[in-house]
Amino acid sequence: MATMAPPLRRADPWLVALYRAHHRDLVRLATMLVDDQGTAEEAVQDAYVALARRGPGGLDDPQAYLRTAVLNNARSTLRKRRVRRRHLRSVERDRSAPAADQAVLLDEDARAVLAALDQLSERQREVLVLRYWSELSEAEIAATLGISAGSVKTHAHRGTAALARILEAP
Amino acid sequence: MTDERETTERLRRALAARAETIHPEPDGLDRIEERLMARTPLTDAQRWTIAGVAAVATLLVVALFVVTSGDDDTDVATDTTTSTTAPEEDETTTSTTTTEPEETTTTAAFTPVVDPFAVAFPSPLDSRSFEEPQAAARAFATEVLGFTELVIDGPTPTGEAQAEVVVRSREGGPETVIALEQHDGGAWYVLGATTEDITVDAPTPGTSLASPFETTGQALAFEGTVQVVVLVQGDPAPIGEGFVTGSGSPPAGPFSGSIEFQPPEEPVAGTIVYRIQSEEDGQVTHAAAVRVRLTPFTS
Repeated sequence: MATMAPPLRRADPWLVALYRAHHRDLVRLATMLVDDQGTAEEAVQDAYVALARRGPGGLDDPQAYLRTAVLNNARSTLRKRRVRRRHLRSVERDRSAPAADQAVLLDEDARAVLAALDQLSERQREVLVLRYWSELSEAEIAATLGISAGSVKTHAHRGTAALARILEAP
Repeated sequence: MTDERETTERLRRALAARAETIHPEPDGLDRIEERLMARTPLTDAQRWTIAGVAAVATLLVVALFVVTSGDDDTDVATDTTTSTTAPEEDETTTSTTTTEPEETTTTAAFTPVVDPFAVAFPSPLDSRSFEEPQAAARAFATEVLGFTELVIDGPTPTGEAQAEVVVRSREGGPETVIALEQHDGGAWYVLGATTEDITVDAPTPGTSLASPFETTGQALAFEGTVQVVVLVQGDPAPIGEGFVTGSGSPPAGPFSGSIEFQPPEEPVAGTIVYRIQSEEDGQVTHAAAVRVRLTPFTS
């Protein structure tokens, strides 16, 4: 009689449920922040692995935990990338140039807005993406980023104003 | 100016359109499960804890061995250890032998485990340590960066035993991001600081510097002026100071300059601080800091 291979250790059902509910949106969120889907997927996987190792206990809102972890991982990736660029200036990527998939699938206005968004500070970009794509409230954004609601309001206001200025420029 | 609502609606539409172009790989859950099955790497804190426990256990065994062997052969041991210092004090030799293992244990097990050259603040040789990253960042911002007023956000975890804290001189002011790392089973140390308006290309962290040294980068500051200060780790008094000039209006412009400092007697850990000051009152508004090795040589 053939013996069966030992089963792989599967993720617990609660984690699978969270994966099915939020994975796609988290990958999209991370991709819009790091501008590279492969890196974004890793950032999201890191967040799920950290949550699995932590366990479901003691968390009021696992989705908020995942979102914060993904943002932290994305930010860390961007910082490392900046450091790397300082040492490898020749391979610096022009962030104003849209990725190939965007160039094909997005209309001209969306490309212009996203290129302008890329010129904002990291924090302004995070606040605007969480506000206008994730549709989070100021309080939820503050909790996600670990900053005050006043800072969220300031970043959102300045980010929007800067976006308008960039889009108006000839 | 474009209406704010119109701008946010354009942004909302662009983000929604962008999101629709992103399709996650179908094997995401498999990859997560593979990583869950892999052995968890030890964190720095766990490694230090294990090393510390092992060191203490080893020394306890050695101490036990010394005490045990001392019972069998006390005269020989005491004669050897006291003959050069107090040959006539035979009656005190017993207490001498019993205290020696304890002194050895203290010295060997609690030697500073953090390399002073690997961190900017506080000095690992200092008696002070910080159990909270925010407390370390606050002290660094005031004692090293030169802030007089502080608004603090964070800490935000950035990795295993790593975090960053954002400080500003006022609510809504420019950010200074302070990077921290946890060592030695819990104490937090500052690695450096960055701010969007100052990019330091040279020196890079960990560089050995002799006086004078060249610093280059890009900066955006009031009248383009950035103050550069050379500090020895653990000492708030600068051993060197100068200015470099970037750009006074956006975008940031390149700077380069030669900074002199009083050479230390031996290589020491130090920090180069780049400060932008308020045009209104001269207070530090944001700053960058790079940890370096300051050498006694001249260049």
